Amino acid sequence: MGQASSVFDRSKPKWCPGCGNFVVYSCLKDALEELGYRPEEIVVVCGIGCATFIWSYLNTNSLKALHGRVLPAATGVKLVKPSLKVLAVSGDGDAYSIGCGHLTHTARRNIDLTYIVIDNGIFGNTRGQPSPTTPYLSPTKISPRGWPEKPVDPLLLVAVSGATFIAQGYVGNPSSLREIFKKALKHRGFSLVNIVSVCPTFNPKRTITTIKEKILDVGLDSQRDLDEAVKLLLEARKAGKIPVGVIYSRDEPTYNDLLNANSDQKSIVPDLRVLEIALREFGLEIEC
Amino acid sequence: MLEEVSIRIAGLTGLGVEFTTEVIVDACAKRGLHVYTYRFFPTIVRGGYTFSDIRISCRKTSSPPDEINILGALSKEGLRDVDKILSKDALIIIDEEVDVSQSVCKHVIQIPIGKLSREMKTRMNMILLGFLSGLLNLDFEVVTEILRKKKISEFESNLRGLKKGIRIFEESGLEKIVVKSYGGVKSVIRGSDLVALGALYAGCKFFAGYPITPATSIMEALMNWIPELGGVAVQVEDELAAINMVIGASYAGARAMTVTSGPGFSLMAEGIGFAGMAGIPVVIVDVQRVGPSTGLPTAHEQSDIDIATHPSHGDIPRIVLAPSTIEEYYTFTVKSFQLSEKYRAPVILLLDQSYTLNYQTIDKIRNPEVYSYRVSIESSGDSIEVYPYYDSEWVPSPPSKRLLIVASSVEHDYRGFSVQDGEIHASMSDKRLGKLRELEENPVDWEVVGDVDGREVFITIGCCRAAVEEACSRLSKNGRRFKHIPLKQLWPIPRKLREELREAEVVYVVEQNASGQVLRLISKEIPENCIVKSVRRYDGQPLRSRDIVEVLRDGSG
Repeated sequence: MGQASSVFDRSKPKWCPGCGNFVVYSCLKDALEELGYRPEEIVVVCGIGCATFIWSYLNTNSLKALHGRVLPAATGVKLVKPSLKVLAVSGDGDAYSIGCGHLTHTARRNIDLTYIVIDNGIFGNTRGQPSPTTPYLSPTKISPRGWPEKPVDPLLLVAVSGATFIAQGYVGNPSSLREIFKKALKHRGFSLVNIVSVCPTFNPKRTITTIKEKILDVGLDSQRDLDEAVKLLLEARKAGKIPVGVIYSRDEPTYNDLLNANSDQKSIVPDLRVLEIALREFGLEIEC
Repeated sequence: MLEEVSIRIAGLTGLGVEFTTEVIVDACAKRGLHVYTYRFFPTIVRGGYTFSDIRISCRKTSSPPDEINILGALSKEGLRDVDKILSKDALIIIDEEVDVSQSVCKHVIQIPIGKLSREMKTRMNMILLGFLSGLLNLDFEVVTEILRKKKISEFESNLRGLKKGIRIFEESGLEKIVVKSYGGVKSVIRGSDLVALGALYAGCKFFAGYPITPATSIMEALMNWIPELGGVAVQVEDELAAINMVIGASYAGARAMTVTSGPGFSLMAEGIGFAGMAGIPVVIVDVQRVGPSTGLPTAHEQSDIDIATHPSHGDIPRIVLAPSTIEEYYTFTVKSFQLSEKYRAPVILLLDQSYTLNYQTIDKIRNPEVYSYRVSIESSGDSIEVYPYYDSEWVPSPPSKRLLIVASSVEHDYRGFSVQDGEIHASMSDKRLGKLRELEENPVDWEVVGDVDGREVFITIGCCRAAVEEACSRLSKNGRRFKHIPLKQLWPIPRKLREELREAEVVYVVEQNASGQVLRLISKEIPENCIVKSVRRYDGQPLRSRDIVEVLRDGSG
């Protein structure tokens, strides 16, 4: 996997040795290739943080957005150019801290895009502060006596907000992650793929081994309804387990469907139909 | 026949002040009269003090009246604060149950509005409307037709009230007040409608916004009309989402805009910087309201000049325009889209609450030239290339054959690739900012009005233009010579401003904020030996021409 000759290679990825992002990057590239996508039809919208450097290594159209505003920017792309395949990429800080407000709203709109969140439980790019998925009461460099906030549960959050595809992968199992990506990319609607990852530099206590012990394989073909999916997530949480696989998948109309916006926008400049609206609504004559 | 008359309808929100105003305005416009309206309203949807001033004239007028000749009050609150604004011979029409013994006004007509409305099961404002349509000689058929169109479900009861009001007027023995008309039916429209129409004409295909007074009416118009023309318009969770969605949509190839007011504009600041950095064309409309912070959400002020001209951290290219006439609400919106593409910069349209929300009559509008810098490009080569997005004024978008489009909030090279290189940053900064020099030299719709050789020079912003023009034309009859520059392009600051002020002896900078934001912005352009007078009104109401007349009488002598 990850041959240098891939059409999706732009430049050699640079992260710290042992960073989980390498695995995510190569799995994503493989999934895109295996599904036969061309770089021109893909837009990668990225936020800020180590995870989002993917945007400059992956050879696609790309929009490097603001910290936390990945989903609105990606939504804007999808609403006017539905023919594009839209991927949004964040880390856990970008997605669940500064950008958390947009997560629920994008899920409930069922925007047809795949949101890939690389969740290493730490702010790596700013060198080691706790993130919204840092475990409760765990010591960090700014909280030696333990971080006093309970972690956000992104999967439950989007489940109750109307997401139509919810999956979780982890960087210790690339072949499963690749398959999860393929499922998510094929899904029509809002899909969240949370990837439990590692940051050996700033979160060395979390390793592939410590993650592996907690993995609960839930398979790749979810027939669960929403109640069952939520139950699974709640029970896994109670048991201290990390469910990996496709947790929930359901076909529902997308936002573009409901807005009747399934063809690409082309601006007509000027749009003379406005003259009729002005006359109809206000009896106003606009001279050309 | 009179040249003009001004009416105030006042009372509490929920009593139909707005509805009554709209009917009178429509009926006047159909008679070929010019009308300007201004409505004061509180944030309380029911039960707060509100009034609406209607200035009816044979000539085009776009500023509030200096005096009110007729006050129609729907409740005792309608008498609030009227002493200063009523003309000497003003007529008050008010319910018979209200104690008017304290009123300074001699001509008070008390009619049983409340009692009759209860007995006849009609609305008080309809009886008042009937009385006023008799008084103003409005055509009964025309008024009836307007009522039918506006609210068919209440038409019968409204008509009962209207007829009763007319009869009361006829029995009162009052003389009719007839304003001269030069004929021709006028259109009645708000600035908000003109902005929406302008956006559509320019080919705006995407809108995202969050409801905020006083910008919501533009949003509502766009939410209705953009889908009608095949585009996409969405209401989103907050202003951060709005600006960033607009950026995404514009990157993807659609002309896109958002609309907000001060608090929302503050939230959009980072996004505006993103658009400037990434060279993604966006149009942001800021309908100003009273600040700071939540301020007075429903009142008029021009206090976003500072933030509009300096919206975000870093050196970002931006274009700030403030239309000075109601017609420019349309033409400037159209132009904003092409300017934002040509200069790859966010365009901020700074609007006034008073023109945005209130109905005015206009004759017709001439479309400005309109062109697009959006192109569809494809590479002829065999391999996929990254488009040199930042080397050209042409704006392509994905999907483009064998071409990738890369845009970035991070400092980048000409292709959009991230660079951590001080020299590239310096050259890209020069490139981003250098583009605007052209607009410094050739500002949008530069105009000098009044006496071009006048040594007393007015600089105005937005709707202040109309009040100043009116005051100047009145006072120039006494031989004073006023030059007037309605400043329409606030950023980049036009070079012509300095040239026009070279011979000035006195410069009046007229604006509606407490600290003199426009004066601060342009102070370097004013010659040192000149007397500078900052004229500011910031009590939440639009400037009246008498404010200027008073300044000129007391001030400069």
